[in-house]
Amino acid sequence: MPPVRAALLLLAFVLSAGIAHVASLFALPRFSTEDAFSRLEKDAPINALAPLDDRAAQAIPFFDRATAIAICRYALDEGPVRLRVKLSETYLSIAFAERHRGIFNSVSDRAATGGSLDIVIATQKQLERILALDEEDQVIEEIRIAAPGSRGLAILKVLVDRPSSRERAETVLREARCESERLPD
Amino acid sequence: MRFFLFLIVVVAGALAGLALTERAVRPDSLFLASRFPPWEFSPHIGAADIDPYTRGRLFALGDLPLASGEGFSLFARQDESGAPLERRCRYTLASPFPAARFWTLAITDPSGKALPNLAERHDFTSAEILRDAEGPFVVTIAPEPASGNWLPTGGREGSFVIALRFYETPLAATATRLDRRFLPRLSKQECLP
Repeated sequence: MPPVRAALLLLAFVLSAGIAHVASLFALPRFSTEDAFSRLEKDAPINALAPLDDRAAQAIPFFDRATAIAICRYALDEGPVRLRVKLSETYLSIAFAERHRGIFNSVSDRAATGGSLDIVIATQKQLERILALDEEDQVIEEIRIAAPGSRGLAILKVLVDRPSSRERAETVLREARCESERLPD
Repeated sequence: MRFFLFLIVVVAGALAGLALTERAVRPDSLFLASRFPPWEFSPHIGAADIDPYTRGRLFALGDLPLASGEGFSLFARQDESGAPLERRCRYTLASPFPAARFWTLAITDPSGKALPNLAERHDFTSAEILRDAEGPFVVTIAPEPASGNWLPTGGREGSFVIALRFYETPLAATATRLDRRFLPRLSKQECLP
């Protein structure tokens, strides 16, 4: 085989290997259905809070059994979504994720004011509208999170530091709220 | 003829590319971000700036990572010599542990499922651990009961994985490096036949 042809064939091999590698790597999160985010999103009601039961939790590999979790699957088409949760005696956090993307933000109980976490999740456009609506000398106590897309997951987590504190952790999650809000025109 | 050769080369290249991806997203990935034997640490796995390889591995494994603002996790699939952690052996895990408000320690099978055992113990939290008078502590991971903090491996067949999670730690937000001097020490002891 002439060297030029051999070199061209090698180039074709390397190029097709590179393209297949990069394309499959980027396609994997998009098409996977067995990842934690797809599992959490499945069957979850929209703009409402749903506790994760034991069976669903244990289907997630390496799930931390010392936590209690509730999911709010949000859709921001109608307006921003407000999340309210009273603090637990143990560690409490909320992670924000998108199904094909992974976690993009999180808030822990250290950010709370007055014994509860009050979070507004909104698209960039809605956030601008919220800022425009703020009164000038108003004290803002809510935490505002910009969502990259209009659909995603808020994952509320309360640490269960010993078996006897599970019930209290689940009560905290049961009393939490996740609701869509309409911005005034 | 020429065209067929070209086609074969392109198909072979594509297959090689796919194999490389498969190799990259496995638990024992070629492209694992950081390794502090025996601990695996992925600093950006719970952040918006996650890299494509870490993301691919996360979606292939299917676990729920800690968000960067929540803390970080350490996984051990092997001991310091690179041998898999065996359920028939006794291991000790000793402090120091990195500073955190809470931590949890769990063992699972390699796919992330809990190991069934008669004692029905799968994990410890920092609140449950028994400490010496001075504060240091040791956790024994073993098939047979041990005094103190005992995590049962529940059997003799196969291997297991240790998952350590640190909630709210000063390290989480910025950590791209860990200091090995502050990581728990895992030592292999004797094994059952």
